[in-house]
Amino acid sequence: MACVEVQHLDKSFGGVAAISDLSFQVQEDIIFSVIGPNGAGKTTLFNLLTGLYSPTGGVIKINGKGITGLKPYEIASMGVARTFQNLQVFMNMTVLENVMVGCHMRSRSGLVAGALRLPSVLREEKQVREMAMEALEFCDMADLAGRDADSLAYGLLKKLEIARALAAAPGLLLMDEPAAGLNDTETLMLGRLIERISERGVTVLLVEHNMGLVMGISHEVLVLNYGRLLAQGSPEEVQRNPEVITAYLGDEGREIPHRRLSGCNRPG
Amino acid sequence: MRLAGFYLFALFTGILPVLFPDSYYVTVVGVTICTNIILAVSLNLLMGYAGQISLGHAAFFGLGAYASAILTTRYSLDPWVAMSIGAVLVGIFSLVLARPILRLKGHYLAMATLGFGIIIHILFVQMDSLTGGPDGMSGIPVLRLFGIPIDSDLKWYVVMASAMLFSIWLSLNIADSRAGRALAAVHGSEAAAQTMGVDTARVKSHVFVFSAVMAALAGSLFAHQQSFVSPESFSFFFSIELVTMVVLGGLASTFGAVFGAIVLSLLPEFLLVFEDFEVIIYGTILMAMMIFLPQGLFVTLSRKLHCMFASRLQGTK
Ligand SMILES: Nc1ncnc2c1ncn2[C@@H]1O[C@H](COP(=O)(O)OP(=O)(O)OP(=O)(O)O)[C@@H](O)[C@H]1O
Ligand SMILES: [Mg+2]
Repeated sequence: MACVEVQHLDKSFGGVAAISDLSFQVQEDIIFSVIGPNGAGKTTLFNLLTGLYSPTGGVIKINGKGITGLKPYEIASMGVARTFQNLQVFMNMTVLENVMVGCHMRSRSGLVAGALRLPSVLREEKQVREMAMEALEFCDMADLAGRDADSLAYGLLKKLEIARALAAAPGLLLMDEPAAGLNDTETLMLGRLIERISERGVTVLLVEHNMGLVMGISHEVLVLNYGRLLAQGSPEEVQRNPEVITAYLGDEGREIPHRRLSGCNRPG
Repeated sequence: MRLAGFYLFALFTGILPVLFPDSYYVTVVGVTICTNIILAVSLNLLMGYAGQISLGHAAFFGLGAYASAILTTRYSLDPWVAMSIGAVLVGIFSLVLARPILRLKGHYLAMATLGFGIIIHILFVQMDSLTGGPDGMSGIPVLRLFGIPIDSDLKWYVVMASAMLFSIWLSLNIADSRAGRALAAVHGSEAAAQTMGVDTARVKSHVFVFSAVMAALAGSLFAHQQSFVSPESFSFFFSIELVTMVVLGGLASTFGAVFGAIVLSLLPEFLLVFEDFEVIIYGTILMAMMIFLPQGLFVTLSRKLHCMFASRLQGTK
């Protein structure tokens, strides 16, 4: 079964169509990239998938279940996590606390129990701490656990968002431009991290401008242009597609095959 | 270690009446300070932790006080029963109010809570048959704890200081709990909190109710301690004073709220002109804090100290 199913999706902002008549499917356990020029509607698509926006028309199904009318937290509880293009780290917390918020759905205790620090709360706190540390370790950030989030460099903040999302143990992870602002080494490491996440059985939806990264790790690529689907297929197919080359990639497009990042080879 | 500051403060609170059992500042002003600390700490849960402003917190304090006053004098209920009924009523009332009011943000939330506070105050004044009107109600019976009547300043100090310490303990625990992190997440980035599975409307309304009930319980204790209540104590100005306490100490810091409550409760004792210029002074403090120390006095100072301490330690290594 497809993990994500989008049918005739429309979203307009006061007459401006950000997404129009978009249909596609994402199979389970793959790295699926969405690319397109600035303003193509990629972030809007993510906001629709996570329930932050509601569609003007069309249907979104996640694991076969329609998400129309569901609140973001309800969609999150279906195993959907995400990172943000413009950082949305909780700057008022430590690194560990940020990731512990990621465990919100994997824990239960309420306000009054927490205020009274009941024994059940203590036990749960310990588990949550362990789960959060595990997510941090997975992202190689365990040594930063006690730092205040606002003291972290940009690249680490981006990674913190990934760790926080992983702490939710998602089945589907949406990443909005995780490589933006990263240097080449960091991008290489990020590609490896995304592959490791995928190997864990997480379906990854990736929005990214860095073509080397996208073409290196994706199993399937979808190209958006002005909110419409321009092309969809394997990285090779998309790169060969003349429409994509002229409409989106332009001259730069022809250079892509040579710009592959060596550390980002596809698994399998 | 987590509660080191708390134990230190508890020790200080406990030693004061032993050293100065007859001091007016300990047993009289001290009781007022304790009441204000409970209120500031409860308001900080909502304002500091969750980032939701309330300009009507005094109303919940007043509702608790009047519930106790009315139920004990007019219906002859036991003070503890009256206090519990008051807390439950305020809990239900604030739960009903929470969803619609917390849907508002920023200025709109400020205006709505302000309006709410003013309406409740007007009800205290206008419903004379129940509340005694502007003159208030006297003859509120003495509170008994384990059969002991709480009838002296020193006994009240012990009761209020215990309640105050308990409220600080609750607040510190919340900061370090699942719900507390969810609240801070709402404050930090509501969109991110939602996509991490936090039902933001729900956690906000929970903390709203919790904070209101805390204020109501403080109000009940206040009514018995004063044995008299009048609308004056629960006016819009007192709500502003509470907000000033929280902002002065530093939002989202329990001890910041404690600090703010102590400073603003002591000020009128030392500044005789205070009474005439109360509102102007609060306004000035609020403005100055917002412009120069948005983090709050206590939080800024403790950060500075912490940095100094840390660099000293590193120097000796
Ligand atoms: N909340 C909003 N209100 C109004 N218009 C919006 C809103 N969000 C997005 N848009 C518009 O929708 C279009 C698509 O924007 P979107 O952010 O999805 O693009 P994108 O593909 O993510 O671009 P980028 O690569 O720059 O991140 C743009 O024209 C944008 O101005
Ligand atoms: Mg975008």
